[in-house]
Amino acid sequence: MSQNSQDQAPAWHNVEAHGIFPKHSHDDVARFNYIATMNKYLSQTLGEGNALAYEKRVEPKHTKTNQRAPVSRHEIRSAMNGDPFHAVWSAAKRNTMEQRQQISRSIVMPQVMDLAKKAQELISEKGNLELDSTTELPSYIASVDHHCMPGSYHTELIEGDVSAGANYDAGIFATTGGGMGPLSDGAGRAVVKWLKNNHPDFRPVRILEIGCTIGHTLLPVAEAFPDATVIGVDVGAPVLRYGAARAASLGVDNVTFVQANGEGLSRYDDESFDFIYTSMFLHETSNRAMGSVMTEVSRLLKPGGLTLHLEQPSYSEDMPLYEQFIRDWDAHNNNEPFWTTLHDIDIKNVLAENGFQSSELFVAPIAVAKPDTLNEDEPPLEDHGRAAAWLGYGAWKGY
Amino acid sequence: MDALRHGSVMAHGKDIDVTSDFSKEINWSAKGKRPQFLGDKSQEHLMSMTLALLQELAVTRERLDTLERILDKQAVVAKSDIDGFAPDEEASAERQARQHQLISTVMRSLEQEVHAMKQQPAETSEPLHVVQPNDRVA
Ligand SMILES: C[S@@+](CC[C@H](N)C(=O)[O-])C[C@H]1O[C@@H](n2cnc3c(N)ncnc32)[C@H](O)[C@@H]1O
Repeated sequence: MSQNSQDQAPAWHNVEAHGIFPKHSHDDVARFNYIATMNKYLSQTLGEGNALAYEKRVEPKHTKTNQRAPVSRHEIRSAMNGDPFHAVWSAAKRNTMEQRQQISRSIVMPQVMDLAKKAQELISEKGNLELDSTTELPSYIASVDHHCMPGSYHTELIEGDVSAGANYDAGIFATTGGGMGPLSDGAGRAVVKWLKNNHPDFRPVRILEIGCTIGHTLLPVAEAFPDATVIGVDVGAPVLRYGAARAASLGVDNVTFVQANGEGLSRYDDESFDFIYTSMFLHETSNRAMGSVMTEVSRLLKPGGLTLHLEQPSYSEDMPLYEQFIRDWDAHNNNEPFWTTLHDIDIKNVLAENGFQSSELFVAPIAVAKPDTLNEDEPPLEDHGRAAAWLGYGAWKGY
Repeated sequence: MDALRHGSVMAHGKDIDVTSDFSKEINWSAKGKRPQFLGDKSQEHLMSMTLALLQELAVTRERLDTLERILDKQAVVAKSDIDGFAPDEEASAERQARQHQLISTVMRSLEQEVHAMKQQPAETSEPLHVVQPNDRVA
C-alpha cells in the first residue's frame, strides 16, 4: 500500500525543542517516527478491519446465538474480544503504547541528573514554581499509571526530578501523530481560538488550570492574556518542575506552577478567578473527585467568570453502539479506568449538581488550532477518542 | 527548591542508587492490569518481540538512509554528521513513506484479512485464513 505525504504521520524532527527538552539522538527520532507511523497505520489502514469484523461476523454470530443484536458497548466488547483480527489489532496497539513509553524512557533515563540541574537553574531564575510536599496523591492517580505511563506523573527518582515531565513531553508528539503541533500545545491554542472567536471581549485577569501537567494547555492561554496572572495546579511534582522550566525557557513569564489537589483549593479565596478550566483532566479522576473539583470551581469563580472543561464527547443515545465500543478501547486497554464511566455521564449535569444553574451551562465544539503551516480549517482526522477535537463543557457564572 | 541529593531514594517501592545510571528503569511497566489479547501469555510475548523487532528494523533502515544520503554528499562520514542530520521536507516525506511501507510489509497478514473481510458477504463466521484456489490478494 503506498501513501502520499498528506496521509503521513508528521516526522518527529518537527518537534520544537525548548530549553528543557531532553537531548536525543538520530535513532531516538527514528523510533518516534516508527511509533507515529504505526499509530496512524493502526487507526487509518487497519482500523476499518475492526468494523468489518463486527459487521460481517461478530454481530451476525452474536445475533444468531442470542436471537437479538447487542444492546450495549460492553456486550460488543466481550463479543469482539473473541475475534482474532480485533485481538491481534488490540495487542499491536497496546504494544505500540508500551513501546512509546520505553522509547522516551530510554531517552530520558541517561540524563535524569542533567535535566534536574538544568530545570533547577531555569526555575530559580524565574521563581515560577510552588511545591507543597504535603499534597496528598488521589487514589485514582496512585492506583494506576494512566495511559501505560510507567511511574505516572508523580514518581520521583531523585530530589528535583523532572523525568516524568520529560518522558511525557518527549513522546506526546508521536502519540498524537503530531496533531497538536510542534509544541504539542494544540488543545491550549484551541481554547484560545474558541475564546477569541466567540467571546472577543472576555479579558480574564486571574486564570486557573486544574491538572496542567507540564503546561501544554496552560502556556497558550497565558500568552493570549499577557496581563493576566495564570496559575496551573497539579498533584505531580516532577511534571510541575518540568513545566516551570519549560515556561521559563519559552519566555512565558505570567505563569506559576503550583502543587495542589484540585479537589481542595482552600489556598485560594472565594471568587478569586475569572477563568477556570481543565483539559483532558476529568477522565483521569473519579466521580467523587469531579464533584469536589466542580464545587471548588464554583466557589473560586468570580461572578461573570467562565469555567470550561475539554473532553471527548460523552456517549449519547445517538452515538452508534459500535462507535461507543471503539471509543472505549483506551478505557480497557490503555489504563484509563474512569474513561468509560465518564463518557456515560453528561458533564453538564456534574456542573449543575455542584453549584451551577442550568441556565448558565453550555456545550461547545472546540477543535485544535493548527500551527500556521497547516490549513486551520481542515477538520482533524477522526481517531476514535484521540482526534484533536473536543467538546467544551462549561458555564458562565451568573451575576 | 531543594538541592539535588545523591544517595539512595525510594522509587516504585524499591531502593535505587541515584549515582548509578538509570538504565534499569527504562523497562518499567505501568501499574495496572495488562489485558490479555491473545490465546496465552507466550503469544503476547511473541507479539511484543515481533513488534519491537519491527521497530528496531525501522530504526536501522532510517539510520542507513541517513548514512547513504550523507555518503552521497561527501566522501568521509563523521558520526556527529549522522546524529546531527535533519532531513529536508522531501527526504522526510520519502522516509515517512518508507516507514509506512515497512510496517505494511510486516503486517501483511492483517491487511490481507481486512481485504478478505471486505469481499465476504455478512452472515458468516468462517475463519478468514482459508485461501481459496486462484484467490489472489491485491
Ligand atoms: C491528562 S493530564 C492533562 C494534560 C493537559 N491538561 C493537556 O490537556 O494536555 C491530567 C493531569 O491531571 C493531574 N491530576 C489528576 N488529578 C488531579 C487532582 N485531583 N488535582 C490536581 N491535578 C490532578 C495529573 O497529575 C495529570 O498531570
